[in-house]
Amino acid sequence: MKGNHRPLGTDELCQAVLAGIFLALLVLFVFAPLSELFFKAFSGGDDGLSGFGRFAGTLSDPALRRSFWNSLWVSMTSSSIACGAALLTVLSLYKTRMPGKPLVRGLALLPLFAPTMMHGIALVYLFGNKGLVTGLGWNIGLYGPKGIVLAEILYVFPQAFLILSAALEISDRRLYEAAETLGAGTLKRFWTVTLPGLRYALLNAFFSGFTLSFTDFGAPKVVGGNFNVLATDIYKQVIGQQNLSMGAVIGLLLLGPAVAAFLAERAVSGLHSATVSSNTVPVFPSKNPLAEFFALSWCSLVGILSLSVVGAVLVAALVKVWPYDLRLTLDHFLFRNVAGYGLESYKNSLFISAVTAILGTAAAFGGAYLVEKTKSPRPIREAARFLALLPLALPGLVIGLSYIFLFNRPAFEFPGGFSLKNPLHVLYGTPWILVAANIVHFFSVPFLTAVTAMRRLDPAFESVSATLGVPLLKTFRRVTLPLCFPALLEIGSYFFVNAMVTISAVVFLYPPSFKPAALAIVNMEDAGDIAPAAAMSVLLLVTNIAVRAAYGLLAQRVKKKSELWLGKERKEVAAA
Amino acid sequence: MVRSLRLFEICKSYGPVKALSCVSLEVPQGRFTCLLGPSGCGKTTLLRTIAGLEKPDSGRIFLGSREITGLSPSARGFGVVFQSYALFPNLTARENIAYGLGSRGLNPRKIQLRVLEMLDLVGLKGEADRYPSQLSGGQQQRVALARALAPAPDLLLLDEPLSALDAKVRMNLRRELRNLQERLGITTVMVTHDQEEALSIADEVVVMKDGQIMQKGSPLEIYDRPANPFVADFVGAINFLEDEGRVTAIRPEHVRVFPEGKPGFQAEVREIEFRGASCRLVLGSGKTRLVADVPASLLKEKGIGHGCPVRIDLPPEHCISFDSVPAGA
Repeated sequence: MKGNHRPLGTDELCQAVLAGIFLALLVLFVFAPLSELFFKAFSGGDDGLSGFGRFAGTLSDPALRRSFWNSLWVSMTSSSIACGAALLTVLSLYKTRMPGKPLVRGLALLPLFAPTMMHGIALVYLFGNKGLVTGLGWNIGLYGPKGIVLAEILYVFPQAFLILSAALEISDRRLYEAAETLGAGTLKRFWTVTLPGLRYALLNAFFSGFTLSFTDFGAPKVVGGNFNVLATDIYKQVIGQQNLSMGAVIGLLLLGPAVAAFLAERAVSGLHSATVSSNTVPVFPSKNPLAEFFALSWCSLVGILSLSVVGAVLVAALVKVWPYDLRLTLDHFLFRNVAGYGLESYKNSLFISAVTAILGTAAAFGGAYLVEKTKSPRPIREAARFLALLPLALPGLVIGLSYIFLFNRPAFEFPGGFSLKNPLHVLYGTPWILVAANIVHFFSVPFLTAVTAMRRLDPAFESVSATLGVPLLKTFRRVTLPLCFPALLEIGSYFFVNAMVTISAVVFLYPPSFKPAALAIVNMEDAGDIAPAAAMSVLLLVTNIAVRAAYGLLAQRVKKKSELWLGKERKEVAAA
Repeated sequence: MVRSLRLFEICKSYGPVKALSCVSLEVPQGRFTCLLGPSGCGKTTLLRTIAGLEKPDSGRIFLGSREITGLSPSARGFGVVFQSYALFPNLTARENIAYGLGSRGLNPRKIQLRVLEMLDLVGLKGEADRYPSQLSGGQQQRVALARALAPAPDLLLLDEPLSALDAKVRMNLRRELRNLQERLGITTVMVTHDQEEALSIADEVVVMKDGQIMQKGSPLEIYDRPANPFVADFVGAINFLEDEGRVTAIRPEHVRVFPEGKPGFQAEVREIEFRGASCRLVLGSGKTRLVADVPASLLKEKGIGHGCPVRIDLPPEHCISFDSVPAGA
């Protein structure tokens, strides 16, 4: 007799409870802080004005309006230029037989591993008042909009590059062959096949780039001069003048265009998703010496620029006193007599990033599994999915600000003298609030990575497990996890690298005794200790490259191991 | 003890779509039953409902005298083979087959013995330590079958298990599947959209359409005495002849064709389709169109060719009467 009479759906109940916990965490760490921000922006303050009255008053402030327009046009300009440059680079890589492609790819992605202040510092050393290029007699007038645009281009370029290369990677050779047999020339093929396929990726890249630079704080801080943008305004209001409700209003202003860009991007990608099929045949470009010449020239330019940025920061970190004493030294890496705690802050960052990577990976992967593969109630899964993707539209500054509002509040008062202690308050002023903010800030991309990895698995695995009477947890451990291990590594390194360089979310949140390295860079730069700031940037950059390289090696090994059971399957997919 | 599976008035909707409307069915013990129907007829939903993977909106399911409507899939303990096989790619054939045995409290030695027994049963002893991607489609299918059978289930459920295979492999496996079922005497329900497969393998065929059962019976009954125009049309080929509101149906192989000069209806040969042993003739008389299958040798003997006038006889014992033709026929 083998009918083990289990009560109805123990396993299902367990899944529903776990999904419920995931949703509750998202509500607590994503939804609640945001609602608190809205509440703060619209509620009456000590000045006796009603919330809406003050909101309208703030909006009509001419200085703030100027900042808003400044932010808007600076972001549009830098995002457009960065996307154009990224497009040329990506086309060179994927549409010609240019040599040295891996090198170009590596150099193009290099800025991704550095904090945005590093771009600013590099620009200061190249084009600043005592900069290398300025010294040669070419003063571009760095401080102000020019500097910000340049720094933002450096910041946005690798992101746009990633989005565009992902789109070209999936372009289908059969389309080109069809066009060729129909007699379309090279130029016509470019206009009719390549560009339309890239159109959506380009829009996507533009919107992402716009949001990134609209809400970036590091670069304008270093090279902005007297040119005000919203991101630096919010910093001045909150940190400088302790004007939290004004900060909340600016936070909402930051949120507006970012959310609009996010929605536009969603709408565009939703229209487009149909052309991606699993059986695309990869494109191999044909030989064309002229195209290769242009491609190589352009990519050399990009590579040199990327190298000169890193080179400038290296020089800044290694030279004694620029530009007066050009002897090399490692003194700046000792961080003696500088603002911002020096090496201590680097250790802090390592700790925060490691914990963020571990907890973030568990949350993103576990959450994606609960949403994708379990039989928990649909409303729970849909709500969780929405909240998991919401951070994609949230600028770091907004997350940081809303976290102060929620976590700093000792208790919630309700009408009628009834009050409830705020359980999140214990996190305030500890490193853990930084971990929480980082996980939320970078949550959406890893979540999507995990969802994509899981959707590639046969949905019947869970049914097999159920009919064989094997608990879902065992199938998760023995099948889902090993099959998704590469995605897991990818997610972990993404969390780590981003947590190392971010400042926007943590700038409002770090406890005085626990300063992250990226913040230390800002402080050093503020205090004029630019060389140590450059040294710290180099330290972060090297750490991130090392982590990424370790990830690459590990991924390679896992891939080799799994080739045994994936090799033939992949061939079948290609043949189908 | 009679352990037949009985379903009473099972209903299931997905939003506005009725996947199953009041389906009642008895699956006799030890027999091979096929659920046959076009895609979207609810056959897979019915199978998943039996397995416990879908919950019916209403209705009850019994195995023998025990009600299992509310039981989870694992408590039912039925063996299921999925259309994609759903073999775990990172586990070997042996590990895949052993997957469901560990949770049944068997000790490792017993598990290994059972796995060997199953590998032997499906003829894969030599491939025990291969990964699914190193096996052919037919071998993967057998591993999936062995995995489903390993815990000795009361009922074996197969969801289009042969549809992903080449025609030749499919034919062989079909026969093997049937032999295996007879040897084990296990009650089996298989979903298929291939009527030839259903007729050749099953003891009982259940024809479904739009979430309802259209007819249930032995393959011979279904073929010779279709209960309605849909079944007649879906299972095998058939001619529908309308005459004064009455519809007569006859299978092409029952239409008898003679050269001019014999008694019968007059018609002419409009198309000839050579099919090896037989030929399919498309015959016409005015607006009426009729398909007939005749031995290929007949054409030569009687000198029947394209455009020839012929005589047709429709033997009354093979004619079936309906009040309508099926929609879309």
